[in-house]
Amino acid sequence: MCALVKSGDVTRNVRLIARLDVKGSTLIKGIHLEGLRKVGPAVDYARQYYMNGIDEILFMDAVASLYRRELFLDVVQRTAQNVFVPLTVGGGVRTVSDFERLLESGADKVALNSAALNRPALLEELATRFGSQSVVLSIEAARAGTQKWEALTDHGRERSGRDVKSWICQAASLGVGELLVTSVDCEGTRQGFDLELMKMVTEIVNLPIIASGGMGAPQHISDLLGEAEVGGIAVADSLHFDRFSISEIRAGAETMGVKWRKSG
Amino acid sequence: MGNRTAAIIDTGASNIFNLQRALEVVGFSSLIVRDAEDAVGLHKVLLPGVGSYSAVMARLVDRGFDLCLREIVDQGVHLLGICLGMQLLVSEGHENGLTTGLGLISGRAVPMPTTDTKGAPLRIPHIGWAEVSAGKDDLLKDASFDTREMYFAHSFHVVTDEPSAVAGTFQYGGRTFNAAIRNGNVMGVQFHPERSGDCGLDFLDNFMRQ
Repeated sequence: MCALVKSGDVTRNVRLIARLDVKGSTLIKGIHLEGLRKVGPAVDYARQYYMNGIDEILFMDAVASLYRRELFLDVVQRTAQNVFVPLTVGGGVRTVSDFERLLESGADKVALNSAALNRPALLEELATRFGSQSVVLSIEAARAGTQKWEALTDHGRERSGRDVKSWICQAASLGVGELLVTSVDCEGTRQGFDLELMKMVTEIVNLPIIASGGMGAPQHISDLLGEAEVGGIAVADSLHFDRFSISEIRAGAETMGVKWRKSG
Repeated sequence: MGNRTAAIIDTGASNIFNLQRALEVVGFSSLIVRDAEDAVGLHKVLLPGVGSYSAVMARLVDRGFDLCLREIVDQGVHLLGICLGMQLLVSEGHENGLTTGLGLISGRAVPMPTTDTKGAPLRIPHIGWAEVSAGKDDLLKDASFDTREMYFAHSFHVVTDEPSAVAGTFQYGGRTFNAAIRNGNVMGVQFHPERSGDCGLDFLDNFMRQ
């Protein structure tokens, strides 16, 4: 399923996704996925984004320690009960049972990274059991040369040695339903998305793609959509530090031709 | 019990708690039922589902739902299939071979096409929001919304031989697909009303109040 797909035009209907990196029950934010800083209670932020018309919520357990796992599951559950848009959850998912517990806590989709790199067959098992549409592959991509990226794990802390392009091609054949692609280089910088990375990813697979890392202004969204046919745009910093409201992001990108959900 | 309570069929592997919670915020309670006899006496039955057509259908047959659902539908109970649940309502599913469905609405669940109308590749699964054209169906219409956009996440869609069974459509890749099908008191929706914001909650409210 590694076929060449044409690049997009900016006028497609895309999803605006609030990405919340969570430590225990606290929303945190860093730069390049590091230097994490506390923002506030994750449940409250998620609820507020829902009320303000976000299309989807993305929760990533930034620590994923066993000690804090129960607390995180509780946060997922309390969030799911009060937002009525899709909730995608990732971070620290190792087994079929971890995946199932997140679904039972209210996640609609679950994202995996290192567990899938360690044992790609896990993706196939999950897709067969829970359906492709619930299996998201999370890729933390770090630039490793011209048109080359390496897949990192553990919130950008560990190297896998795996080339992003070949990893995506393999994962796509195992029934993954969606890709969450985070540029570790652009993450938290507010300088725009890694356009070359997103273009490469959208051209090698026919799966829906969520682009994450680098959004600092509505202009960056139209820049991205002009280069790459992504279906979702993850925004963290801009929303968490109230640099832009959801409606300001939508309105700003709309003037450049970007189309959103009208009722959002 | 009665009209304020819905039965939600536990099809395994699906997120029934979110549906239960969505019903709760629009003012209705629900019971999760695992066997056919537990659904008896309720006027509204919801059939959610994600995952494998054949696996979920086998589970429904095993728990006696195939016969029971036909019986309660004949008695006038309102049945709503959601996502895979909609696909299970029709005659057959074409997913790794052929599986007989519940047969309550004439039609087949088939894979989404892999190209758009111009022949360009289409991203599958279809994940995202789409505007639902409600046609003549009152449940999908509401004065408070100019547009009804719902959240979809699926790799299969339903085609029906009965044009009158089409209750709503959506577009993806320039093609038109069935967002909702209906045959009397049996209805199926491809979207997730419990994850479609106010539009989805409003639809659930309409379904429960009919």
